[in-house]
Amino acid sequence: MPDLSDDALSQAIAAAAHDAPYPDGRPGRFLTLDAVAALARECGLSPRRVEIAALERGVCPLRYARNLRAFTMAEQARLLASCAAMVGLGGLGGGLLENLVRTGVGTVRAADGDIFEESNLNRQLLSDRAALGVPKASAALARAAAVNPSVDFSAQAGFLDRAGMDALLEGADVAVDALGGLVDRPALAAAARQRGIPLVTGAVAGYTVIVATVPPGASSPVELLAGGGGTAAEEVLGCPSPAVMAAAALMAAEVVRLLAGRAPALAGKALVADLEAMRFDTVTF
Amino acid sequence: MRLLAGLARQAASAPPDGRLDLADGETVASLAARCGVDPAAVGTVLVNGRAAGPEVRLAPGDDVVFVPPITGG
Repeated sequence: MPDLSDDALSQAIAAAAHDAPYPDGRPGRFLTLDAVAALARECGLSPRRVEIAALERGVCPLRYARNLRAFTMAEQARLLASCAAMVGLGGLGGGLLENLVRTGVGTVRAADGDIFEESNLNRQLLSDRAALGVPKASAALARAAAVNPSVDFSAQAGFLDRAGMDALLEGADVAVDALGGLVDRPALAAAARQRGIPLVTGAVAGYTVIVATVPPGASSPVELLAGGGGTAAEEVLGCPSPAVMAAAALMAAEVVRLLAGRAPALAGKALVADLEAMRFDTVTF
Repeated sequence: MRLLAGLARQAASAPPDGRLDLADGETVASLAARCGVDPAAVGTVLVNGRAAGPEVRLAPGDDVVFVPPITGG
């Protein structure tokens, strides 16, 4: 039914929805996973379009029921219509992907040319014993599809040069720096600057975490923090799981906030989290 | 003052509670030197939440954070 009218879509969604209370007791109208899939087939739409249409009509896909009131229905619909472009599917990228896909960011594009190895198992969410030797991009595709098939997720199994980053960021609303090391970060920051989109970036060494949002045109605090030369601290201290997962979660909160249409919490600022002392500071650059 | 991400392990003369009296004309660089912080191991210094160069003069009550280069993920 490619020429489905608005009225017909509204009727189909109304017929497929069920009444139930939200966790706080408010009455609500919901669509189950099966209902979304059936509507997608019936209406010739992607599951993502069905979910957006439902939210626009006050019907919440059940999988997002506990996203509300962190987000309004309009913001949830906006998230499903938004696009994040992420470089890196290791420690930061795996945690970010999990958060973005569960939240319902509609389109996520990623790239990583690595395969999983044993030294990734301490922190990288997408890695497990069966994934050793598997491209990180392949594991990410399987995970995203298993968690939320409504998300239009694509992952390139390759390391991107500047031109590749430019292409990945085309049409994206936010760029996400989930890279390890410093080598490729300046190119991604430059690509985001050229596209005129914000960049959410983060890094970890031991139990120290840095997360920052770089508004279009601003300089990256992570470049500043990584400045001064010398050995990067993570080569001595490593990247333990709690620090990496915390960095990914903090970055995801900023990415989702931006994609929902809100102002960034860290514009021109960096959050420095010291998980040894359990101290969080916001610093200005 | 605070030393993040392993810098404390190298800085033998840093006070454990992070509090110290300022010397006359104390700067970021002189503070680092008398605490045993290796300048080559420092990426950025934050004074009261703002990036500061080695020549920056310190005042009583300043909050100084030494951060090594951090790029892991």
